[in-house]
Amino acid sequence: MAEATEKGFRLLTRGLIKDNPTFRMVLGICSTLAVSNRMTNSLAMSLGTTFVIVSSSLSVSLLRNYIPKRVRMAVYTVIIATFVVCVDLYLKAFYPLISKQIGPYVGLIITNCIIMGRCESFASGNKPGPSILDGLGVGMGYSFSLILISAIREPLGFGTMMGYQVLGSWWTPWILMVMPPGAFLVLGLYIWVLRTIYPEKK
Amino acid sequence: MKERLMIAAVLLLVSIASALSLAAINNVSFPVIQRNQERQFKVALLKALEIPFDSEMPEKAYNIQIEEKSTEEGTLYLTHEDNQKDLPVTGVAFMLKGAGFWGPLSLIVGLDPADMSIRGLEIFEQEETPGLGARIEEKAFRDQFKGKQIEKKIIVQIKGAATGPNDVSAITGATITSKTLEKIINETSRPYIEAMRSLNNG
Repeated sequence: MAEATEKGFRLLTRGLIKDNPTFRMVLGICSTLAVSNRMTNSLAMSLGTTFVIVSSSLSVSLLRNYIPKRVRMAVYTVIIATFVVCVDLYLKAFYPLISKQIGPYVGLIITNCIIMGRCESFASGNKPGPSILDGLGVGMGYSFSLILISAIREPLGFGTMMGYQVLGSWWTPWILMVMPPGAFLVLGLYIWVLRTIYPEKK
Repeated sequence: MKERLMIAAVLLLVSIASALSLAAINNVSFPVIQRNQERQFKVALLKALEIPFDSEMPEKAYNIQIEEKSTEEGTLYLTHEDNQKDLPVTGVAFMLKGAGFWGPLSLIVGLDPADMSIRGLEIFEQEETPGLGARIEEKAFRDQFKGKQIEKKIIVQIKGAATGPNDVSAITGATITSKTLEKIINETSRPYIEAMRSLNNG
């Protein structure tokens, strides 16, 4: 029992550092660049993407013995798209402001390689339990990156945090930070720093 | 042959399951999403006409105080003295649309028909650059338009402070958005003003 728990814990935490989708595998970069200019957007995107990863991994794992090899990608895409549309409709109905701000990027979760990657490399060959843990771990790793990057970009670019003023009026907003070039700068620094702290084990 | 049938069957089943579940979710969320969009418009309209309302139920104030009047030139939104339709019009609002820097830009202008001055200006839809052009949503910028004459040309001053009676100061660093807004107001409000005139005469 203890061994099973430990294995589960390892699956869950693997996505945070060792297999972190953003700074280790460099996947899901498009959405990371796009929505990390505000913390609220990052949180919504993190929760949405994690939900899609976990539910898609679970579904693929449950169906893994019935999906013919030749059309597996097509089946994954349909499954992922279904969950993404659910997230999109949910945000539109209950968080219209956030939905308006991140707009098309919710729909683009479909194209996030992290999700397809987990379905193909893990869920298609593992039982539902481990697949959920794996998906949750990778989702947390993605969320960790988004939250950290927006914690740098939002205060520097808007002087705010979650929409509340945190830097005084002496601070001149550094507009570049909330525009695409700022995203590239911070993401580059983020990958560099995190890879230096946690070097890849050969 | 058998394998091909299997592939077709699996794809078909997965797609049917996906379509059915999405249809069900859409059925539930559609009315909520539609209400959100209508509410957003009604709130902007009430604000442009400076009508106080309960933020939980803006529909109530809207239904009592605003009359929608379709004209050949477009829809006018009217308020009447004591909310009686046969009493004189005390406020007129309409929506103006144009192309912004990145996407559509639409706004609602509220007027005082007595002297054709602007009572309020609300940005309804914009996709301008965050931190620059998107600042047209800020109250301090929008409030500058209050009291300006809609029939004369409104000038958004890019250099230096606004000096003329119908001048407002542009947003620093957002020349294109500021000038676009000026163009939309001056060029697309004409038909609505004509419609207002024929309303007064008729």
